[in-house]
Amino acid sequence: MAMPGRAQQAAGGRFAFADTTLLRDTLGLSFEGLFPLADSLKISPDTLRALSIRYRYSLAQMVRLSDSLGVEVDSVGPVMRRERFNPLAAGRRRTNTFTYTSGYTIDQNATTWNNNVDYNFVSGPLFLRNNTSVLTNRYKAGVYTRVQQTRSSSTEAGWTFSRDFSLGGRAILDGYDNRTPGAFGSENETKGDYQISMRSRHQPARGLTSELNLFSGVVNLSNLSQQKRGLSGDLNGRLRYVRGGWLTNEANGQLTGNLARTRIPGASDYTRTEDLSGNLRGTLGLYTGAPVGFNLNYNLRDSRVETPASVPSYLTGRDSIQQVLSGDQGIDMSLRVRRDNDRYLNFGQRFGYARQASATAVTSQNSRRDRGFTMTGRYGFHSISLDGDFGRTLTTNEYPQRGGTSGGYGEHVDGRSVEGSLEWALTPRVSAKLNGRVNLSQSRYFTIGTYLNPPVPRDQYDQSYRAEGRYTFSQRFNTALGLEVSRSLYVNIPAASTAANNEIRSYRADWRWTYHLLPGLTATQRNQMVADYLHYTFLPTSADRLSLDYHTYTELNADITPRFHVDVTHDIRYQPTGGYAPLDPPLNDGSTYFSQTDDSRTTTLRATMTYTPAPVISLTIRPEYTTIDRKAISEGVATPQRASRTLNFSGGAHLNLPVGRRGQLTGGFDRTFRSDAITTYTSGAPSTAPTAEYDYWTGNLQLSWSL
Amino acid sequence: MVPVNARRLARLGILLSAWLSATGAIGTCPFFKPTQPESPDRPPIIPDYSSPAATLLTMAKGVEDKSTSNGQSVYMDALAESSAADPGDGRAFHAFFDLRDLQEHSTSWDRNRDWNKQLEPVMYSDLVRKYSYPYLMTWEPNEACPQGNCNDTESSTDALLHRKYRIMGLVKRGTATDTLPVAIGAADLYFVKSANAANKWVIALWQDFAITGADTATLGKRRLDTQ
Repeated sequence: MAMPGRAQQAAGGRFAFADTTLLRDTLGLSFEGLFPLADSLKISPDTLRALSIRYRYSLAQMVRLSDSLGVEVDSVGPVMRRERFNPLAAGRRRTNTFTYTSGYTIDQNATTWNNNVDYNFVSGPLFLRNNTSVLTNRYKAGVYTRVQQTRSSSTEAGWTFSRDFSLGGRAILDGYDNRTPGAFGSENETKGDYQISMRSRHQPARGLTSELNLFSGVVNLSNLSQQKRGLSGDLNGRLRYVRGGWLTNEANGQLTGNLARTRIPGASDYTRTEDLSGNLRGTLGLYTGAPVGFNLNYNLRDSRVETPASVPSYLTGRDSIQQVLSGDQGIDMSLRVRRDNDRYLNFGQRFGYARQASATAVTSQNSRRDRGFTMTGRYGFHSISLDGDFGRTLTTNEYPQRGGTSGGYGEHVDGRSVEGSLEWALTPRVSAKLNGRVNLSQSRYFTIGTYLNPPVPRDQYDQSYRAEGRYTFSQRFNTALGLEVSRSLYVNIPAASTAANNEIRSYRADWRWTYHLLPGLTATQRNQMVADYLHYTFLPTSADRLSLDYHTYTELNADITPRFHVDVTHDIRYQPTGGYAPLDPPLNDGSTYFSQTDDSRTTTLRATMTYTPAPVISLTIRPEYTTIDRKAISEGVATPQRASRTLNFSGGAHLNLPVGRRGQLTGGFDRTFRSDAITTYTSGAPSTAPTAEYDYWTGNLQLSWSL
Repeated sequence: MVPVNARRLARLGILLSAWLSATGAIGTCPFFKPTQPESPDRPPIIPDYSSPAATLLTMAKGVEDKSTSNGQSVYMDALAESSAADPGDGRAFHAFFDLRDLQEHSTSWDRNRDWNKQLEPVMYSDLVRKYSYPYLMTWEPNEACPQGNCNDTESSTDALLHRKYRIMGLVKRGTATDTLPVAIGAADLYFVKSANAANKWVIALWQDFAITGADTATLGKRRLDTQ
């Protein structure tokens, strides 16, 4: 178990390099077993961790809720939030809650003020809900201050006739204002939806549950580009069918539409417009818990939005209506053959088609059609684990009006990838990992209409191999060494564009160690060396470049007292770059030598001191000093080009303060001072610019209050 | 040490051979081999992004190239890329417009939309085809920047430069060469050092401004004109 606020050391060979941070002291969350769980759920660890923090659910709670709600782990939070506003989910238990949250954020040139009210009242069959938020942003640009305000309010009241049926009404009001001094930029938008609301739940048969909701009423929209008034409707539902342990099927659907009279602001006549969008999404699972299982996801979405255009219609003489069409359809399926978490093979196939309005002409659609096959597998035995991943995706994109009326172009992309990993826990203290991957992406183009300037057909090829070894001497000391080689090819095909074809070979070595020197004192160091060799395939060797990068990062973490914590980091980077020049006198074999042309050295020393006199407040001081020196080198003689010295100093307080019994004040504020001194050299003569200094407040405070 | 028997080592050997042959390291499998390109017929731009100033110079060369060789590619590579599908720079590119340009395009451009790297090739393509004359692009310090503070700031990881830009068409009239303004304006350019490529500076934010008194379109306007 790691100390509070310290990185957690994960155990086990496969997750030897897993590292995460405990937040249990502040949010009551911990991430024990994060990496194996993320691996098992096929979700990235940082996503799983972010979801846990965002919705304040522990990992175990998220998995439990995912199972019971029958949704993916990443949908648990949104579903739970949505259900808070569902009167059928709340039942008839008397509830009267009021929550007010206000946040104020101040940056160097902008401030944000956010106010949010959430009211929920349930008394027997009667329910009333309101959620209102007002967000105000102020941006300072020179002497101007631009103010943006976004307002939204949703109120719903009704009667729950039974456990499965409710009827009521709701009003959704939205507003947006943008005020800029002077004659430019001011605009506003208002939108109101007034609807009756009907919610129902059904369980017509064992294992079959469904929900059907209907919202219908009038809509009133007014903004810079249109005024729209008419009828609106939203019909949505959910169907879930479970049979034994072998079949699950869940489908969600929604149909929304408007039937309205619309005009451009200032126009005399209204024109009839019809907006319609439909969305169906579902998942079918067969024997998902068995050694051989099948999963199918499908989605279908279609949308049509009609807006007026300031071009008179040929037939009616009124403003014409332009239709913005978009939609997508797709299925992806996977066949899983699984013995246990260490021995499985998955085959996946995907077909998809999407179209969306073109940026250059909204009535024209860009489209994307793709089909892909993937195969992933793992085989573990004893202390060795082998992972493999293969994929091929064929995509066709079409941009029919990329060049306006002259037409556009289409693109065929053939993407191929393969990756393999071998992890070997040689002893309880020593583990090794080998990884190799190869990608090839081939892009080919065809013209639509008379478009003259399609992109150049090209291939992009990447391969890399990495070997990594880790040695854990004790709980107090561990170290790791990694070596990586990679090769990238950028290949344009036609003669007119192949001159810049190039190949980059990179060699990287990194070594890191962590030593728990004393109780309360830990040192960590990371060292990295990188060499990038850039070779132009069709150019003489003199065009080749070499970039070197030597980087050392050292960090000391010290708990001076239980309430006083200090972090000190020292960062040094040295980057010589250059080209290749012939030997003097030149040799007949064309040999060249590395001729350094640039020299860049960057050093940063940073300290963070945090004093926590009480759990509700911490005080932080953060000084940082950075030096950057650049030199140009010609024939071995270094000439300074630029030198900069930057001092950053910030100090502030962070709060987590109860306000009364039901309030909480969180956040912090800092005062930041920055000073830049820059010297530039012209023909070796220094020219020092006046020191630039900045001094400003930053902060973010959130007050939440519940009744 | 955990024992691993010869049979399993043999399986590992087979796997290794399969890997080497599938990736083209041995044998003739073409599945992962890139296409053989044609020989070049003109010299390319050799891009240099080793400092913010070098990046601007490379962009200028990219515009002057007018997409006849690798001009579009070197221009686009000067803009930050955050896409996970690509070895990203760790930041994305966003462009913001002068209020006068926004006002002029209020019906064709939704001010809530984001001008990102995906839209920039449209502008480049439109810009270089606008006139058939050769182009000349120059950058110079902006000593009258609208935000007030015109000092460039630079750290080891980011930099803010205030620059005026000028793209001119070079029109030959007999032996003399006249210039035709194509785009003139100013920009606050926020550079970041690429998270993946060593010593590469790319533009993450481009705040465009019209220059008082200049009646030629800004690059921001050229961007919006394509919408």
